[in-house]
Amino acid sequence: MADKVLDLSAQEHLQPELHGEHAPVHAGEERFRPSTGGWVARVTVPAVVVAVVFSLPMTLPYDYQADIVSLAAIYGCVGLSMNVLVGYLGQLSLGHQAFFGVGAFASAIIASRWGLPLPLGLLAGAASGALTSVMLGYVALRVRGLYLAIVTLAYGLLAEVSLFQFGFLAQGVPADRPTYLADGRVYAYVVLGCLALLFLLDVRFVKSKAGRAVQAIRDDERVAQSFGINITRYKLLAFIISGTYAGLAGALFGHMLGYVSSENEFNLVLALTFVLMTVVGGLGNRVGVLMGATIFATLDEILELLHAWIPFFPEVNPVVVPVIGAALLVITLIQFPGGIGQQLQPIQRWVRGGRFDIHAMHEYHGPGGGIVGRP
Amino acid sequence: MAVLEVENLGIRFGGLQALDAFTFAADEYEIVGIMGPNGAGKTTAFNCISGFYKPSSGTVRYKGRDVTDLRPDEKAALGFGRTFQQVGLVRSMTVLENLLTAQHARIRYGVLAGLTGAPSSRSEESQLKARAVEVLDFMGLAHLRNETLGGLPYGTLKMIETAAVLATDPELLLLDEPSAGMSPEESHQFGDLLLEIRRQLGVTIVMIEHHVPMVVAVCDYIYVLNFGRLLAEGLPQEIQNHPEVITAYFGEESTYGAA
Repeated sequence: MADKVLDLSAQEHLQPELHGEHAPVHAGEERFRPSTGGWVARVTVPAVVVAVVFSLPMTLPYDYQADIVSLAAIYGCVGLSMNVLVGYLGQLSLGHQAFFGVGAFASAIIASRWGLPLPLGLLAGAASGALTSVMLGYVALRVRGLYLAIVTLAYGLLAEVSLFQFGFLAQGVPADRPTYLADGRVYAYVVLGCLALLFLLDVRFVKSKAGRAVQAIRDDERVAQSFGINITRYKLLAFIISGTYAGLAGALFGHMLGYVSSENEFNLVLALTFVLMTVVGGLGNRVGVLMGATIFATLDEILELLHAWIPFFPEVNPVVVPVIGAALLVITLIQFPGGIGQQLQPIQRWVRGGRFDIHAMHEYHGPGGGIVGRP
Repeated sequence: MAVLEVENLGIRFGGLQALDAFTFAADEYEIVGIMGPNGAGKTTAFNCISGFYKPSSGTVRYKGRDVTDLRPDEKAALGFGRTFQQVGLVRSMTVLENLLTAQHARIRYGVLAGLTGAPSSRSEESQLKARAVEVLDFMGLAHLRNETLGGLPYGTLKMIETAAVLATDPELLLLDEPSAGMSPEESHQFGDLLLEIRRQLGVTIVMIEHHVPMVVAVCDYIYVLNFGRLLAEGLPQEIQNHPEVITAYFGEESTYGAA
């Protein structure tokens, strides 16, 4: 088969008159090219954003404030993990707190209980997330959509009430950090570094063979198969990648707290928060997902700040906070099915070298419908 | 040499024998047409051949090898190129991304190389892109490469689908109503395009098609299905004037010709 590779270089266009009729109206329009100054601005803006985020822990006066940054970055890692499964593969997971918890326990045991170096603990966290996600992935090959969501829900609950109560895990496991990372401000950089790594991996993933295969499966399994994509393999792969990211995030979380316990951390509310922040952030849009994750990780602090700074802004009872999250979800689904990511579209297109066009906000091409209907 | 040999193919859905003892073959460089009224079992036959349905009976041989039980993606990797009645494209992707995805089975770099952006994956990706643009250029669609599918007319989408299937580097094309949604002139031109594809790429084509003038002009041999059974087969001119075919399409009392 390999010897019959298309060699079209020498051949003339076929039937150009066939396509003249369907030529898009803007085909003749010059493609917009930013000026040199335009490019400088387009590079500067993201660079400043990244610089601000990375200088944040350094400039905070107190150790515990850095933990807020860490938590936002950890939720960001989970958001990227959810995005692979929900955004790219199009399958809902309500059991992500299990991968998160398994990663946290694994790293705590390796790095703290056994006293091995922290990087090994983080790796073990990621690996255990991958391992458990393979198990769930095999189930996921048989069911999809709502049924899969229920399976993942059951899996998450199982981990919560059974797995994390097993033996010595029930008492909780200390998750100390080495002394050079004892300061939360320093540790925040470890977390931000991991987030940056996952972010870059995600950028590569969507542009690679595997990322395209996973997204093709989401849109239409039959079409994906007709393109030669083994849907079993790539569904499992999406689960493994998602589980790895979530496991790593859990490991980072455990060492941020310093103690991993099943008491209150890895429950269904957390799983729902992960889903909410990803959907509100915008499925398939990693910058949007990171912003959604940041909002949900720091919602308490945001509300406190608003109360402190804005006169007459009421003090919000913590009980009400989940309701705010739910309200955000409803607003997202009605107004912007692409979430924050959709609202970022004008800026993202501008950064990629297009014109700034505020109307881009109302075009949504991602998963879940929108402009691109089933042709 | 027969590229595709289908023998005694049958499938049953509950009490319905959707396809019964369908036997046909397509030789190298041949263009074979499958016709028949709605519900005759044409698309069902395609689904059995390309692996989406598991036939209850019969065998599918590809270049002499029994491929009846292979999955659709395995068949695609062997050289089966399949289009769909509804447009078979990844709808959230641009035209170019669709053609990159279609080349999946040709890609040699692994998952980790893709994730880390290893040089091997990068150079292969740029080759894929160049080839995608080549195929689009061949189909006269290169100017649409960065378009999303949403705003494009149906006929154009069918052209893009054909381009995507060509990008899979097929040796056997299974086209399910390729000219659906095209005007008579467009479908006539599409027929010319198919002949050109065969001439330049040396593929074998099996197509389901309703548009009789196009089928007659393009196909070397035609099979007509009705109620899951083979009703007639023959050269286009024979089929055109076949009394049973005319009856199947137009009913007993019809005074119209088949074309």
